[in-house]
Amino acid sequence: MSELVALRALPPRFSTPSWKAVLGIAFLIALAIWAFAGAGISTEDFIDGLPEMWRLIGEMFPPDIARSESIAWSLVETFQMALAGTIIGVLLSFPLSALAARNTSPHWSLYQVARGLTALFRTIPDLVWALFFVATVGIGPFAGTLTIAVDTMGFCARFFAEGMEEADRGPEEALKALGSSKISIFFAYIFPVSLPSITNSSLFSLEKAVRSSVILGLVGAGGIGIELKVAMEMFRYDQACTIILCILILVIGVERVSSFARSRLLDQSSR
Amino acid sequence: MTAAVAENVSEQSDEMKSHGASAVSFSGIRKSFGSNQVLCGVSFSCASHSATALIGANGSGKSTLLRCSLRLIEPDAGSIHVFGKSVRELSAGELRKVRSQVGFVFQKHNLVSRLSALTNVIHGAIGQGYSFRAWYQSIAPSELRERAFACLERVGLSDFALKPVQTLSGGQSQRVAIARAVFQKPKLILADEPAASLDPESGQQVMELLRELTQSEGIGLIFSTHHIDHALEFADRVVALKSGTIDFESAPDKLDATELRKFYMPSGSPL
Ligand SMILES: Nc1ncnc2c1ncn2[C@@H]1O[C@H](COP(=O)(O)OP(=O)(O)OP(=O)(O)O)[C@@H](O)[C@H]1O
Ligand SMILES: [Mg+2]
Repeated sequence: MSELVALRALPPRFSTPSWKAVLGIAFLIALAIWAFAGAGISTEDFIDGLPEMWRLIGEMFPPDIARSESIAWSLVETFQMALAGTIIGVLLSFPLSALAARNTSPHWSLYQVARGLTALFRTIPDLVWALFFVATVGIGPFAGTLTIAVDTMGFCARFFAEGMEEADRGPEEALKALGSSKISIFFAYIFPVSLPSITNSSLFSLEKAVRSSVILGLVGAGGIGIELKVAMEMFRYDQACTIILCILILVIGVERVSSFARSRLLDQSSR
Repeated sequence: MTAAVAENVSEQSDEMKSHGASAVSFSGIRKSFGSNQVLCGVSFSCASHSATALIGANGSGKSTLLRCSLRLIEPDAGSIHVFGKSVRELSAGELRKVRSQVGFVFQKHNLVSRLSALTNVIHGAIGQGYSFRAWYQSIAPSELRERAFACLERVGLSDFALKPVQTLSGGQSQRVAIARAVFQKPKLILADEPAASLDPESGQQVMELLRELTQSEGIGLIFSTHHIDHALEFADRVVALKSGTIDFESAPDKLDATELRKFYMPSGSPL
């Protein structure tokens, strides 16, 4: 059998970059150097800090379980806050997302308003919302619940709307041909079809809420965060360790339950 | 509520008598998508109690024409009368009412996936004054559930009533779509290649069902098809679309085989 030989020249492995690409890469490198310059990075401080870190971690062990009962209660409060906030947020996300999805929004202006509101809820960090609610409704878990609800709306309304926009146009046209109103199209088609994606986003937002609810206490918005803050400020690193372990158990536990629920809910469907 | 629906139907049949026997008529329909002129002046009508077959090569505008009749696509010019009403002059509410009295079977079945076959059939009543009770079979009045089940039985799918439709085969789905149209108790059925995805036996059965409906219930039927034998067997008239106009219109027994072969050849082709 004769060997195959190409008639044309083999293209090189790498092509020479254009001057635009070179300029772009130079810009990115400059940007990175500039960022490092401003980030206050100091090898000296880091090396000096190493024994400190080691000592602090050493002081955490063994964890102090003396205050475990009160820690457990604030852990429960944290979870209640996260769950209640997520439920409120998910419920409010339904109407908001229906307005914020291109194919279900009744009017262009409502669509813009809903999109803007969702972006606002999402882009303002949760600690800022917490500060706002602590200042308005007072210190305690209610401020945290409201924070979680707003945060959930920013997340869920966006993803619910995206799920709804993914709905195929065919069945929508079929329902239209049956004389269906927009509301009926929404409930008889868009909603059931995007339910898996809605369920998925809701469970993700519960996980997210649990993670963020543990730090809301730092600014007085309820939950276990305040315990952690007090323990750290009083140099009770052994108590802080117990708290951190509890938080780990809560977060991992909720993630486990949530992914179990996800797999169970997503494969049953018929109505 | 049921009484109101019955009243609607009788009121509508009185109306039909006063407007002669034409279930749907097209006059001078034009439609282009961008620079693609699909329909350039199509006129014909279909009487109650009769079946019209619409034939034409791929892309000749059969689906477009059928969609125009319920304003699922807005024609550029021309007028359409359904049950004697000028469709293009109706208000949104009146249009929904007319649509609810017309059974439309799409080329692609367009069922709502994740919902059961029974629910999809019950959707046939969604424009007929049942409000939210036609959204899901679980909340539908018993009268609707029973009638929908009977329609599924008629297309041989009563064993699949509670199966989510995405688990049905393409042909089974198409039969559910036909059951949905029959369930509407329509006075006119527009069926876009109703038998295309069906095996020869089920295709024959579906066509027989449609013919039986035109004869026993006085329905007007337009069906598009690539099966010339279906057009010859089940239609009272054959309307042939080519290059945006009606190439010929005739009774099936007047059709000539060589003429038909010429019709399907690309225009200008010497073959
Ligand atoms: N929504 C749309 N946007 C743009 N062009 C369209 C649209 N719908 C149809 N067309 C074009 O209109 C022409 C007619 O399409 P149509 O679906 O009516 O043909 P058809 O006769 O039903 O063909 P087939 O036998 O393949 O079903 C095609 O050229 C198609 O590309
Ligand atoms: Mg077509």
